[in-house]
Amino acid sequence: MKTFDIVIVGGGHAGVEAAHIAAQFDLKVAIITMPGIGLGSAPCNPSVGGVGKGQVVRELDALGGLMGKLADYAGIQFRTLNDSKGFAVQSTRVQIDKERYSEKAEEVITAIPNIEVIREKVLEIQDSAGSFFIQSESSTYKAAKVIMTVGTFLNGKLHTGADQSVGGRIGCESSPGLQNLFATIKTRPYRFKTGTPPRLDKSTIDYSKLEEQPSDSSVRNFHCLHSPTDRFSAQVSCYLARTNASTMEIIRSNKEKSPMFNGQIKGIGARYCPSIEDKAFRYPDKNVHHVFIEPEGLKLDTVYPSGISSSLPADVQKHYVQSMEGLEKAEIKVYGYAVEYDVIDTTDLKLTLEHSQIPNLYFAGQVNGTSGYEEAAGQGFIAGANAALAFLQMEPLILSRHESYIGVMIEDLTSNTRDEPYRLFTARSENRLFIREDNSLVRIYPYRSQFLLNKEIDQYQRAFMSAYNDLMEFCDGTMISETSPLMTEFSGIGELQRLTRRMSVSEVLRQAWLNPIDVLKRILDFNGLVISDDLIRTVAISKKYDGYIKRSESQYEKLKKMDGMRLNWETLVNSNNISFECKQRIARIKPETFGQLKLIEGIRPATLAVIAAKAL
Amino acid sequence: MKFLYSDEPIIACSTCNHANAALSVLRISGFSDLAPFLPFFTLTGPIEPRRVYYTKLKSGDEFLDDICLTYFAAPKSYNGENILELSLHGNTLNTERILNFFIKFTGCRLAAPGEFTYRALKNKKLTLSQVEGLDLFLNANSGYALDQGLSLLSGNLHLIYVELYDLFLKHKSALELSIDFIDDVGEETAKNYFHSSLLDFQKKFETLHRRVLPLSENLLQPEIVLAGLPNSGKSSFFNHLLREDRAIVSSIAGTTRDYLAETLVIEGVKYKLIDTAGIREASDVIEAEGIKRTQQKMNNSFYSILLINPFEMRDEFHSLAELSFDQIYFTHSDLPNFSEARAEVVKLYPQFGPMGAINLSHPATTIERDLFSSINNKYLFFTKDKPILLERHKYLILQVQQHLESYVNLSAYECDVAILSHELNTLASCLSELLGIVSPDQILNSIFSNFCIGK
Repeated sequence: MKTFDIVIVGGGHAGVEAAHIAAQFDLKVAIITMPGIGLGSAPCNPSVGGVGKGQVVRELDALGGLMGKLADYAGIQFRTLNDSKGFAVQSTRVQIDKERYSEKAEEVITAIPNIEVIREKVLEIQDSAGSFFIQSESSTYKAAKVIMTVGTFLNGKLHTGADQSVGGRIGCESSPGLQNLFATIKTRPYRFKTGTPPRLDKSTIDYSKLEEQPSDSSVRNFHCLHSPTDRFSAQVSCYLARTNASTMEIIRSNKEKSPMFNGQIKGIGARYCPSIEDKAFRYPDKNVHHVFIEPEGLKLDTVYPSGISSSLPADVQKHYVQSMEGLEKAEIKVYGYAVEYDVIDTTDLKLTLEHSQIPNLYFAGQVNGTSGYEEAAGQGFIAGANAALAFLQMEPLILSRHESYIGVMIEDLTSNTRDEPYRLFTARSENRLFIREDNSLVRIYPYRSQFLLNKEIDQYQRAFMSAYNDLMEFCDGTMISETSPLMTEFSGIGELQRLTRRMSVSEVLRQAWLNPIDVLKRILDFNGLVISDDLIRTVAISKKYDGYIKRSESQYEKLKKMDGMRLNWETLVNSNNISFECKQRIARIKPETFGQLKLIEGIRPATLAVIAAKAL
Repeated sequence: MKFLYSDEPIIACSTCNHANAALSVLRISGFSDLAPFLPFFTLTGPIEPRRVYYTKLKSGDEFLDDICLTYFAAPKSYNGENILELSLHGNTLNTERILNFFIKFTGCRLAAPGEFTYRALKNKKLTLSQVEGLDLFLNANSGYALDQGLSLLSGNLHLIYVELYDLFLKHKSALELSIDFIDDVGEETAKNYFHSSLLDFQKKFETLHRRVLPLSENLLQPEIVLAGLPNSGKSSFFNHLLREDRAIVSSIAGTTRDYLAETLVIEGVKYKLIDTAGIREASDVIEAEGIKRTQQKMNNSFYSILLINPFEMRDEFHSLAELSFDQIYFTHSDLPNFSEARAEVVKLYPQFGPMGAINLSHPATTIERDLFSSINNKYLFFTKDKPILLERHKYLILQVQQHLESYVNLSAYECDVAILSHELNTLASCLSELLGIVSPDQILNSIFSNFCIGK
């Protein structure tokens, strides 16, 4: 019987990341995946990154993950989203050649000697005497730790109109339900649902009627060791089409044929990922919706029309696609479908993604009820790293939600039961000004360095951090005199934007009307210093937001200091400014310090604020 | 500590008669089972919830009282727990005896003040605002406070907060929409939604903000202050206003001895009438200090009256002249040469005259009639816009106002939406205090219910 340290069931974005990081610790790793599917395949939209997700890809890259590298190799259109809205919310999105992406994943993974890729369907997993026995169709494998990254394959069921079939995705079988794989794990009493749009023949589209979105050659690619603007594939454009009144009318008049609206599909879909049927029925007044025509690959003859996922019958799909301007003659190569699948209850998982009732068993990716390749990859990394760290009896990897989107996601997943597929948004973070793309490396470095590895990326990161600290110090310590020609250059229009006193470089970078990157570049140039664009960007933007970030930190610090402050509870009880209920609680507990007061259940922040305001 | 986390059964007299009365009502709350109580009643059938039963209350063979009993089964009760409500004969000794009987034989403990309501809050039967409303309602000093207590209790004011909060969420989601979902929505829609939602919020907030008057804290316990120099006749006038035949209530306990205060009821509103005479007499301080204290008292007052004895022209007039009063009277009008003396004062201090004259030996009833109607008019004027009385709410609304102003200024020029959103969060934390906490999930919910997002 073949024995492994870690077995990963599933070779998607989660599985690949898990194997890739576990292998860095020199453990013996296997990926067991369904036959006939490439590693890291992209069954839905052909893109990596996006708002909030771009941050995840860069966090992964800084952790030593794989996704950024693969996306760079397969990237055929690069864009910065939210370009004009401030640095904190800017995100990179890359359209990928999905064939190339999967080929590259295959190439990287199979080149790692301590990873074995096994293409068999898993039928059962038994937990016995501290080991797992994984039964496939042809053999049995033994593993100390198992990571389940089975995506949408658990009891998967596909729907196109009234046609239903069993499968994890189009052209693939599904795997048994989790209750068959593990007798001891509870799946949720319900299933999730996701859908994908029809794929169009790219030669049948009239691009002259659509709005072109070319690739941006200045966008920094994902992998930190890649030269910033290097492109590894030919660049192509995306196009913007729009639905219209007749498109929506076709869908509305076929309501009874939609599995989602006639009761055939019972799974719950995400509101942020609605099918075109959802849009038609939930927003009856709106007929114009964006449809992005995204290339699926340089050699592939299909494009992905983002925004019209559907499980309507084939003839209806064709009818509504052809109602759009520019798509009048579009032919459908693969029809859209919806897939229903089992998900597990992630509140049973620890922050390491290990199951709380079954030690050594980890879950990551879409089986945890998330959507998106980046979310899957992020979890795959966390599960893979933690399985490896636990195997080596090292400290677990737990990212704080205040320092990373991956941390936000893991905490959200493990602390709440979700009633729809989970996707990351920047709005999910309370600390958006700090968890940005530009400073991913600075945020993640302390975590990566705890692995005690010495790969190329570790050496790069150590050098980067040392240069970062030097440059931060330079900004704080270097003063620019009011008479310097630089100050005239940096002064904006009008009285309020004039720089008339001596100030540090850091202070100049904070001025609202200045682009901190250009300014820092200019100052360094002026001083004859040559520094990499990556570093300038990280430092300049960090300085720009310093004030805001420090302010929230100082509020926090102030509160911490106040905890020790002594107070007289009797005067609080007689105060007019405190609510009746709070007074009662105070009278019962008789707190002697502000900290004790804060711990009383039911004391409202408003009461604390009133007391704090008086004390200061 | 026991209070906060305990859920043991509690008992209290809800009518709290301190004197004998026809009835008194006992409430027992938080028991899990009716059975232990049944042997004390002479009922034969089962007790159904929300029905009134007439029964005898007995301890073994000993008869205690004839009572009416109502059972409210959880969660359909005032505080969400099982409640037994007993109407007894309201002799204080009887009430006391039966209360002790239940404590001894059923393991209930005497409830702490407010504990029934605390459990209602804990079981989400009442919101914090409603609890505050209940407090206001039960302790109201005027019809207006009574009304506002009721409005909080019935949730009207709370509903206004909810509406405001919804509008805030709409605006916050407009901002988030422009970050996370711009591809789905498009720049122009996002921008329009941002501006229109901010306007809607501002409009709604303005109506609430108008209800926060600097004076409104005094409306809870409005004070009428009598000011004047020694010998101006304050005490005589004070005693006159509090004549036996008009609503004299007992001295207000707990007031400091710096001044005299009595309760005066005008048109159903309880005022605290304060004679600042005490200020100087009680403490042996120099005159300037006395005036300073008077001034402090006046700043907090709802209505201030200055009495001037025109025959005692003194330097201190000067400092009094800097203050503003609702009403000024010249006293000692019965003395000869009163008009000349008054004219003399008014010549020096034009802001004091021409004002009413009072004969302190025989004050005319028209004076008090006019004075009372002036006080009442002022009260009606200030309650016309339904000012918010609760200090916590006022404080929060003023905070929101402050943050909103700086946010609106910032949004005029700042294009960094993450910074805008950061600023909006500080506003959110005050606003949500009026209600509950804003979570990112709530914002996303608001986005999804209004917009069409997707692949």
